[in-house]
Order: sequence, then structure tokens, then C-alpha cells
Amino acid sequence: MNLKKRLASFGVLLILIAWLPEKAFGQSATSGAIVGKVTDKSSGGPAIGTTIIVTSPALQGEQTAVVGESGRYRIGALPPGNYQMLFLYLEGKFTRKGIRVSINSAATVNQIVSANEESVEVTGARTIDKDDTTQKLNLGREYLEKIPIPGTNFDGALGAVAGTQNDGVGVSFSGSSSLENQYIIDGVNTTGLTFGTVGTPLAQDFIEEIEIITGGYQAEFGRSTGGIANVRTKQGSNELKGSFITRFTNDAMALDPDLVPSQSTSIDQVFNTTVNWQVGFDLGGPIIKDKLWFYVGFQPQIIRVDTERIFRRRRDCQITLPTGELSRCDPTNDDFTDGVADRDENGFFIYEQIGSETVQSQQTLYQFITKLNYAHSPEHQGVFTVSGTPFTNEVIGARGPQSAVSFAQSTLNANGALEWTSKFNDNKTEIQARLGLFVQTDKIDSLDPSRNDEFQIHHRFSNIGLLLNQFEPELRDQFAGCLDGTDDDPYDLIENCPDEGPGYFSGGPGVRRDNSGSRLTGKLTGIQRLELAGDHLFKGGIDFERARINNPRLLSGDVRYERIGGTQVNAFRFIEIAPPTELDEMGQPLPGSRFQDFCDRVDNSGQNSRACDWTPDPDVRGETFNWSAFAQDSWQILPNLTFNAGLRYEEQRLRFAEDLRGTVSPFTGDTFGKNAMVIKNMWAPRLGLIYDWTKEGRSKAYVSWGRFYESIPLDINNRSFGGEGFLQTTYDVDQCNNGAGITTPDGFADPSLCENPDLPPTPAAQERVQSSGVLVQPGIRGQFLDEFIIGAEYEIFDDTKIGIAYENRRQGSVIEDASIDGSATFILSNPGEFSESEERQLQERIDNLEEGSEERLRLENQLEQFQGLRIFDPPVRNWNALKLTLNKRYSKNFLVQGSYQYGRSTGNYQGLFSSNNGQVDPNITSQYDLIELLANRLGSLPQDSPHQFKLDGFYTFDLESLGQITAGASIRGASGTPISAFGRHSFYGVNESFLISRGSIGRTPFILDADMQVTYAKNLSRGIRAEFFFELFNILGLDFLRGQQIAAVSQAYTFSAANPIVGGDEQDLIFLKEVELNTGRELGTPVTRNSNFGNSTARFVPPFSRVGVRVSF
Amino acid sequence: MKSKTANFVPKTLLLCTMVSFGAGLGCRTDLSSKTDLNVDGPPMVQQVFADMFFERNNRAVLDQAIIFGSHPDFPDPTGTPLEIAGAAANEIRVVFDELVLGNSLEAVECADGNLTSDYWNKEQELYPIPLGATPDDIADCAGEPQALLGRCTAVCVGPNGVVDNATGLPIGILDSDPVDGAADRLSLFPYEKNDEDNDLDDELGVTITCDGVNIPIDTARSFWDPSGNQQIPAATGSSHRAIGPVLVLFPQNGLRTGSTCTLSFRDEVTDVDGNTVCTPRDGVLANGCDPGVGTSLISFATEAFNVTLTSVNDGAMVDSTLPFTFIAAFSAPVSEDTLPNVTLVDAATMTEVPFEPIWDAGNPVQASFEFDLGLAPMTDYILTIPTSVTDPNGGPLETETVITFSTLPPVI
Repeated sequence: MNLKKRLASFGVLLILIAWLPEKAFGQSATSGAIVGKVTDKSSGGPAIGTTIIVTSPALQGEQTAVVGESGRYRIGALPPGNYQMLFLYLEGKFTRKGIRVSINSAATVNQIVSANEESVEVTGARTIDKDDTTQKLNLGREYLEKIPIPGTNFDGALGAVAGTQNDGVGVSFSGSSSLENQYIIDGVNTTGLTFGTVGTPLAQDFIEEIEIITGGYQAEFGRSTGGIANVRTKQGSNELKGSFITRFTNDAMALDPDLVPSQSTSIDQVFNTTVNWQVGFDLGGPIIKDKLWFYVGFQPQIIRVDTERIFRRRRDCQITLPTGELSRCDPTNDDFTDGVADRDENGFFIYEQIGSETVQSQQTLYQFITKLNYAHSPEHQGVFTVSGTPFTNEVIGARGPQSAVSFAQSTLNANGALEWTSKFNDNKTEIQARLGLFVQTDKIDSLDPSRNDEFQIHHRFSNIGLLLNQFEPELRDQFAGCLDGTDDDPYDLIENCPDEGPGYFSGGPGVRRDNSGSRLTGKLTGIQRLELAGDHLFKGGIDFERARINNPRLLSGDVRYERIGGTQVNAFRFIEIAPPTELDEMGQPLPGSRFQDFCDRVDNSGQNSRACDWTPDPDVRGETFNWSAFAQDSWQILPNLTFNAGLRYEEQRLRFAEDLRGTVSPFTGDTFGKNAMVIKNMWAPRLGLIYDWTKEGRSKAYVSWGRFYESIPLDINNRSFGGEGFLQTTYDVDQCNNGAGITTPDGFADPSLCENPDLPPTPAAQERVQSSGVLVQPGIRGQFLDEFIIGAEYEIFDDTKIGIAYENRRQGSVIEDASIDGSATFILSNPGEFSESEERQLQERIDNLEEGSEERLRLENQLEQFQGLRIFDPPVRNWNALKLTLNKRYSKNFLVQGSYQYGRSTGNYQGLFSSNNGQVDPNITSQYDLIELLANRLGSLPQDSPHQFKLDGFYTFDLESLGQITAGASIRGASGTPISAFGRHSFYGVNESFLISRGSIGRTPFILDADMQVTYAKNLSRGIRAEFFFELFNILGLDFLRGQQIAAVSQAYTFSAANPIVGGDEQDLIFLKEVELNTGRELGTPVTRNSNFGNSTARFVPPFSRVGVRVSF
Repeated sequence: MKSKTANFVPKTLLLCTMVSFGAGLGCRTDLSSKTDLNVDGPPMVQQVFADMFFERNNRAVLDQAIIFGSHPDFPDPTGTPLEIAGAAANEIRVVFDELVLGNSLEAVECADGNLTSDYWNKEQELYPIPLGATPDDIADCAGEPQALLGRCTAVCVGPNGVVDNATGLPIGILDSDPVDGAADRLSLFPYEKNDEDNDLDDELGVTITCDGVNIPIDTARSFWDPSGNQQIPAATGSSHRAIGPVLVLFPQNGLRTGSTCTLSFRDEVTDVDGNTVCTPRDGVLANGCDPGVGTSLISFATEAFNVTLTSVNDGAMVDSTLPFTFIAAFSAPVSEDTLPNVTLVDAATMTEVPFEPIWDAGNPVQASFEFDLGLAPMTDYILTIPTSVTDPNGGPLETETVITFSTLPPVI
């Protein structure tokens, strides 16, 4: 079935849904609903004909409904907020107040009425959404203002829900990696375009409610195998309301951090935040009462940092005494200056500071939002929202002059949404249409713009003192102690400031960035309610996403040089794969002709590549088009039994970079078309069954099952479908400059002389092209997981519920790049899978081709590659969790929510990034690149933290005329995460080999921490309310409590190249032997152990405090 | 001392299976990996051979190693045993189908125990690593000497379990190149032949025997490497080199030629379950091992020892005026000690001509014979390389080589 036919099918479905008679209201990603039953007090039967009028400051006008024969009602499309309901039944009049409506939720309000009574009740709705299996938590304004949250943007609050934890890149949900989440603001997908990170980190102060969904959701939601953060921003109302807010903190309000033991170097830096200040306002009100509302907000945040750049040298003034103890440091004692640099008890060299300089820098984040709500009538309403977070940053580096190591960064993340909701047919039918746009830009240049076009040189394994003397002589007073052999050198038997790899940079900024991208989205949703053997709530919709990125590959000066020691120069350039330009007599590409650097493409001069190396690099324009459709029904079979069924269909079309289209891959012989990878047939069924044993909406027992597909971020378009390539040219310095060498008397001549066209050419010792062919597995399936949940909730008191749930998530197919030819060709594939039908089809194509033809040979090679996919281990990621929850929503001056979870995450597939090597490349990590990298991957995954508990709450003490004091706290406890032992792969790099089974070394320590907030509020005159708050974070990091806690330990057992020990344990590590870089040949020598293995590499931030003021009216 | 860590068993996978099965769903229960080893039963070594490797980019490398192992990429194990040239057999790779205990094969080089400033200059000694010791235990006894005082316990233990020496201080591990908390060197472990005399000898965990002769192994070059897997096909990049775990043996002087050789392992060489090494019946892993057989089924022949080239051929005429040098090349290293068995006699008088044999360890397959006094003109000579000339392991030449040649008249 082609795309048009599929769209047509779903269109018919939607029309059918829209045509169905009866009442039709529902909740959505941006609105909620009120549901319930109205009963006649005297008869006990349905109070037919009762008119319900719903009003709220959040509502333009009022919404009404008339109770039908069943007595049940449903009022949807309600913005989140506090509501009041009026029930009019004959002469009777009943008012309910304090009803909280949340987004994507249905508040249950059952009401008993009589024909001639009146009453006013301040009783909220039930806490249980009795028709839904969604695992979620809604955070309203009370939570966001009264609970201490270190991060002031919306993503800072996502950790409140059970099943979430920080995985190093973001907040992970239910065993999935954080890059599998989706972030929605006002109904628009704002997930980061390239990697799937948080897109627009909007301020909590502009947000009305955050819905955090961890699982069990209906077919309406998709494109996520993690969780969903659904954010609804504030809006105006019929009253002019606004607030002013400011927060302040700095390092003077924090304890000093514990130092993490590490192998120091001669240049280091320490950061001191002097100012971290937020100030902003928001204002909303009517332009035309009940017709047109506005809401605006603006909030800059300024962070100023003093970066102290420290110069240090090694020392030689201690020896080991016969007692085994270290002597004192005495540089004047010849017996102590033994020519061996001193080390500490960890084996690290001891350094002493000799000087420093301080550089100031600033980050500025501007938060803005503007919103218009327009009500043409109560039935036809629209919302237009634009919000964004432009950001500028000065990144200060230490290992070189500012032009080379310090950067000016500017980013913009912004989103706009235009939403229209209409109700027709006496409000029986609801249609919602939404158009959204999300844009991202990211630009990085040198802090010194005049050096942007200058190439960078990375000096490694050289002498830091001499480099500083060469490139930063103005700082000589600070680093003079680094220089060997001077009168001020007390350690003349050792080299004071050698470099052991990190190196020193000079010249321009090196890698620059000027990325931009956008995602245009559209969604049409229809809702219809039908009474047929019970109540049905049908919902259907269709949406599309067109995402584009434009990521130029930029090197300042178009080349980056690396000097290793005294003899070797490497020149790195971006290149682009291109069709072969020269063929030998056999029709095969000649060496060197398979790649064409950008300058050749631009000027087409036909000259050798070096003559045009300086041409700017071009853009890489990637694009993905996604569409989906869904249909779902919530069938209330009995008043206390609901069956939910939904089906979602998704497709993704990932496209080649525009510049590549129509060209031929020199690796595969394939012609690049428009679509690089089309993933079809992503059918995602969702099923749920809910039973209320109290029959009063106070309970639910539920079970749900669903399939969820991943939406692939655009990083893959850039790297796999963008013709990525890198050229490394290696020279012998002594051969440069016509054999005269390039080393000048000062020792640091310009290595570009090796490539200077005015000098005789220098023969390259080696040229390595780092680029690969890319194939796409025929019949590739979308990446998905299946989820099963069973649980129960019970409202033990008004506004308070407890819950228990068991969750199982298991990974299905994944999409990853795999290679069976040593990374010459990568296959975007479902590792471990290649269907026999696809194999037969390809074989038939081959059989129909002429024996020995080029096309036949090409396809035979591809068939062999695809068959090779079967040798890869299938992905395994199993998440099992038992959750206990407690929720007391805000009422009677307090709020409490807590959870305990026992959850395990095991398998061989972590997710869309790899924490072992820090690689953030969704769907193209190195895990499946080579067969041998799969060994020992099975075990406890990095997000495996079995025990977790979370407890948040606050209480407000009413001091009457003196004001109110609110005390809030947040406590978190979590088991440590698994520790593995990694080694270097012979040509893939460090931390790629799982030397023994994943996670078999042990765990990091248990984490326990608490935050607190105290707020004093007082109502001033004319409706003005002032609040002063003080927040203290990481209280248990205080030394007298638990001290600063360990966040991570080094898992790099060795930086030597070594193969995994399959099935081995710690003892086998003792016998592990090194293999040769690049060849993998065993060297027979034990690997060199990383001295820092098992030591802490990161600690949680020390206790810090923050103060703030909020004035609202 | 930390307890030996059991192989990781993800218990939650079991939970997942149970719960989900109950719900009619099921998890992925096949948790095997193509990289897994065959941990069931005893560790097995299969008799197969391969004698050439192909490295990356199909660059051929003439390593001339012999491989014993079970990997399907190796040649057919049921084929006829390959005869190999002793000269080429400079590396023997014994690939196991599962891990054996490393400390049954290798020992650590320890310091001599005195934590003094001349710590690094002490003569090193070789001690086995206790079962259950971890890298952390090694690290506690390595590095700077002062670190040992509080942490080092019972890693370097002597023949009788002696922890310390006369100083009463712990014995440290040699760790200076670099100081990284790991042993600088491990070496194949020499077992005691006789427990009574504490006399360490050269009987390693593995023995190569050819026609009853124990072949010396170069312990400085040989090693046990627990890494590697049985991936099919062999892992990319490193070709057969990534197939493991492997015991790599370098015979001190090659193998004994013209012999039948076998490998045998001491009973101490076991897997984690205590199973000794064995060879599967009929060379098929699935058949398993027969009790008591061990690796005795391994039996391979070595190529006969022959003279492959001489500088003077039979019937040749040579110049008599120059000092005469005769060069012979052999198919395997030749024993220097047996070179004097070569004879050169005047065919008429049967008088032996004195000569000096010259042999270079750097090129052990060749020998020169210098006749400093030269030869008489117009004379017939008989040069004989008898079968008593042997390889270093005593393997005799397969046949005697006799070369008759004559000298030319003197040049006037």
C-alpha cells in the first residue's frame, strides 16, 4: 500500500468518526476533561436533563452540557486550571468548586442532585483517572513553586516521577535512554533535531503544568520509546495578572567541591561562578474580555564565571624511606632529588602551582513567550504561542591561547504553535487542528573572531613550558617555573612540564559550528462519543513532521594539524565521498580518486586537492519526513469497566543530503536517490483494561500492553546520509620543507610548511581516508519496544491515592549500523535479522542479471553483506519494575508525592547512546560496528539502579495577618549503577572493549540526597502578593552528614588495546594481554592498568543555596 | 583477598521470563551471543592446523604458526595431520573453547620484598597468583613501595605459602614500567616436579613432546591470553588473532624434526569448574572427551630434517687457490654441536681435511664450513653430511648427504 492509499484509508476512518452522532468531548495533549455521572437523589437513577455549566479563570466564556439518558457526561477541551461546576436540575442548584483539571486527563466529578435543593461543595474531583492506564505525573504551579528544584527549566522537574533517572545525557524513563524521549510544548514536538535531546528548555515560571508520561499511553502518542514530557504554558485570563520573579546564587553560596583524584597536567583550570541571576516577568490579561487574551513573559538569566587558569609543574623532592614512608619534600637535599618525579599514593604525579591568570566569561539565557487565546465563540477557539530560549555563551579553555581554545557560542531554540479547536453539531463533535514549528540554531566560533579562518595546531607530547613561551610570552611571569634549566628551576633532574597527551593548542579555533534546523509539524484530531453497548470515546487523527538540518562541516582554515612529539605531523580535513574520477583499465577507482574534497567540488579546477584546500566547507542538508495516523476507542463497557484499544501507524522517510542526490557512491556503486531509508509498517497497537472495584471512581485495577516505535533523530542524516569523510595525511617533519625540516630554533615551526604550495612538495608518509559506504538493509523494520503494565490505584482519602504497578519493557528490533567487512561498509540494519523473503527477492534480482555483469557483482556483494547481519547478536533490553506510589494533591495547605521502585534494566543494548565511550550518535553508535565489540555486552545496563525512592512535599503555615510560611522538601535515594571494565579496541579507540561481562565489577555507592525550600509570602495591598524564598540543595552533601557523593567512577580498566575476555571475571583481567594498535596482533605483554580505575571521576555538586523573590498580582 | 566473582547471571531476566510468560508475552529468552565460549564440560583443544594468517587489507603475513583449536574457520580438523617444517614452526597457538584458570599457566614476577630505596633493583622472583586474587589485590601490592605497607596481603606467596621474607614486610609485585598498579610481567609458571625439595624446574602447565623428547619452551615469549572469542567468521581486523582464549607457545629451538609430537597439560590446568583439558573424540567437539584421554589424541608429525641447499653440488669443479668455504642450508635449525660431524676427505687418500664450522643463532638453518688451508689442486674430495647432524632437539637428518667434487688446476 503506498503512502496516498494509507492516508486515504485513515481519512475515511476520521470522517466516519467525525460523522458519528452523540456527544463528543475529550482531553488532549494541551487540554483536559471533566467526566462523571449525575444521579437523582430521590430515584437513584440518572438525573436526565441536568444542565452543567463549567467556568474557570482559564476558560474563555463557559462550557455547558446536558445530561442524557445514561446520566453520564463528559466535557472536554478544557485548559488546565481550577474549575467550578454548576448543576441545574429542575429547581435544584448544586455548585462544586476546587476542581483541578490537568492536561491529557479526565477529572471525575460525580454529583447527586435533587429537584428542589441547593448546595455548595468545595470537594475536588477524584484523584484517579478511571478510564486511563497512562503512567504519569502532572506537576502544577503549586509543585513548581513550592518544591525545591535545582534546575529552573522544565526539564529540571522531570525527575519527580517514579521510573526516571539521569543517565548522563538527560532524564531516562523506564529503562530507556534519555534520547528516546519526546518533549512537547503546547502540543508541538520540540525534541532536539539532531540527537533527540531537550529542544527548548523553557522556564518553569512560564509553565502552567508539566505532564510526565512514563508509559501505558494511548495511540494518540507515538514516536517515543522512552517517556514523554508534555508541557502546557500559562495563558491570559479575563483579569490582568502578572508576576515578577528573580533568583540569585553564586559559588559564595556553595561549599567548595571535593577534588576528584586524577592525573593532573601542567595547565588546569578552576571555575568560580560569581553571578547566577535570573530576573523576569510575565503578564496576561484580556484584550477583549472572553474573546481575546494575551500572555507574555521575558526572563533573562546571566551567569558570570571567573575561570582561573593554573600553571603547575612536577616536583622531585621526595623519596621512599627505608621504613616505606615518604620523606618530606626538600628540593635542597641532593638525596631527595633523585631524578624521579614524585607521585602520590594513587600513583599520580604530584604537581605544585607556579602561577595563574583569571579570565572572566558570561552566559546569557533569554527566555521568552507570547501567547494569544482567541475565542470566536465558546465552540470555536484558537491559540497562538511562540516561545524560545536564545542563549549566548563564552566557553573558556585552558590549553592554549584564547583564540584557539575559547569559543563564543550562540544557540536558539524556539517553537511556535497555532491551534484551533471547533465543536460542531451541538458540541457533539470536536475537531482540533494544530500547526507547529520548531527551530534550532547552534553557532560556535573563536572568541577572537579575527582567528576564525586560521588553522589550528594541536601540539602533543611536547614541552608545555616551551609552548607557552612560544605562543603566550606575555604570561612568562606565571609559567616561568615550567622552563627547565633556568636559575629558578629547583628540579633540574626532571622535565618540569612534560605533556603526556592532552597537549596544547595554537592558531584558530579548529572545529567550528554553524548548524541550523527546523521541524514543521501538523496534526488533525477528531473526537466523537457514541453510546453503543456502553459508552465509546473515539479518537482519531493524522499528523506529519518534516524535519530539516543544515550542518556545515567547518574547520577553521579548512584544516587542523596535529604535531605528535618532534617528528610527526597529521593534517586532518573534512572530505566528501564522491563518484570515482579516475578508473583503471578494470574499471576500478584508482587510489586517491575515490574522494574529492570540497574545494574540488567548488572550483572544479582540476588541480590537485592541496591547491584548493582553503575553500570553505559546504553545508550538509539532511531531511526526514514522518507521518502517522491513529485511531483509538475508550469503551466503557460497564460504568466501572473500560476497555481501551488503539492502533497507530507510523512511517519515516530519511533522505540523503541534497548535494549527494543523483551521484554514485564510490563504495557501494548505488546511486543516491532522494530517500535513503524508508521505514514502513510501523503498526503500534495499544490495549488497556480498567476496572473500578469501588464503582465510585475511587479505585482502578488495570492492565495495558502496547508497542512503541522510535523516531530517528537527524544525526543519522548528517553522518550516514551526508557523505561524511575525513582525510588524515601524515608527514615526517624531517622530510618537510624539501628535506630541510620545519623545526626552527624555537622548536615550534608552522607545520603547515609541510603543505606549503610555495615549497617543494613533501611526500606524505601515509594517507588515511576515514569514510565508509552505507547500505540500508532491505525490509528494515522500525526500532520498537513492547510494554506490559499491570497495576492498581486506590483513593484512600479525598485528594490522596496510592498505587502499585509492575512494568515490563522489552526491546524489539533496533536500528544500528553494522559492518561485516571491518568498517569499510556499514549497513543500517536490524542487527541479527535479515528475512528470508528479502533474501529470496534479492537473489531473484541477481539471478535475472547477466553473469559477471557489474550490476550482478554489486548486488552479490550486497547480498553477502546482508546475510552477514545474522551473525550479530539480537538486541536485548529488558526493564522490569515494581512501583509503589503515593500522591496527595494540593489541598488543605499541603502536597505530598512519593514513590518507591524496584527496577532492573538488563541486556546488551543500552539505547540511543553509549555511556561506555560517551558516544551520542542515535542509531549509529559503535556497538554493532564490529562483531567483536559485542562480546560481554550482556549484563546490568548503565541505567540499572534497583532501588529508588522519591519523596516531595510542602506544607503552608497560615500566620493570618503575618502572612504564610511554606516549607518544602525533596528527598531522593537511589542504588548505585553498575561498574564495568573497559579496554581499548585495536582500531576503534578507548572504552570500546567490554573486557569482562557488563556490570560485573560492582556498583557505585548508594545515593541519598535532599533539597529544601522555605517560602515566606504576604499579601500586600491591591491584590499584590510578595514571596521570598530560600532554597538549599544537596543538603546531605554536607561533610558532617554524608559528604559529597560519588556520581561516577572510572570504568576504563586500561587504555591499552585489548580484546574482551568472554565469560571471564576479575581474576582473568590479571592475565589479559595487550594487542597491537591497528592490527590487533597480540603483543604478549600484560595491559597497562589505568591507575584511576575504580576511582571516582565525578561527584555530585556540593551543597549550594539560592534566594529569590516573586511578586504577583 | 576478595572472593572469586561468579559469572554474571542476570536474575531479572529470569523474573522477566516468569512474569511475562504468565502474561502470555514472554521476553527474549535466547541470551546467547555469537561471541560466547563453550563453557559446558571440560576445556577442549581440537587438533587442527593453520599455518598462515591474513591480516587486515588481506595482507599476507608469513607467521608460520601452528594452531590447535576448534574454530570453524580453521582447516578441516578431520583431515590428515599436516607435516610441518621445523624451521617454520616458531609459534604454536593453542586455542581453547573456554577459559582455563590463568594462574594455572602463568605466574607473576614479584619484587624481592625489601621496601627500601633500592626496591627496584632487587632480583625478581616468580610466584603463582593465589586463586581468587583480583586486579585490586594486585594493585594493592604494586606501585610505589610505601603503598604496600597497609594494603598488600598474600598475592606474592612463595613455594610454601610464605608471605614475607626475612624483613617481615610484604612482598611487592614488580611494577615499574610503568607504575600502573598492574604487574609488569607475567610468565609461564614452572611447576615443582618434586614437592619435597622446593626445586623449581621447567615443567610448565603445558608440555610439547616429540618422539619422547621434551621440547624446551621460550617462557619469555610465550604467554596465556584469556581474551578473544569464537566468533564465526573470525573477528574482523585482527583475523585469527582474535580467536581465543589462547596459549601461545614459542619452542626455544623449534620442534624436533621427523618426529611425532603431542601436547599434554598438567592436571592443574583446569577451567573454573575443575575440569582438565582434553581433546574431543574424532576431532569433533560435539562428541566430547573420553575419560582419561586428556590431550593424548593430539598427534602431529613434523617434517623430516634435510639439507635443502649446498654451495657445492655433487660433481662440481671448484677453484683450489682460494680458502675454501662450504655452505649448507637445512630445513630446520641445525644443532651447532653436531656440525663437527661433517667430514671432508681426500678421495684418494681418505685423509680428512680440517675445517672450522661457523653457525649463527640469528640464522640457525644455515651452517658454513671454512677450510682455511684451502684444497689441493686437481684433487677429488668427498664431503659428507651424516645423519648424526641433528636439529637442536636431536632430530637426525633423514638421509646422509654425500658430495663428491674436484678441484681445478692451479692458475698460472
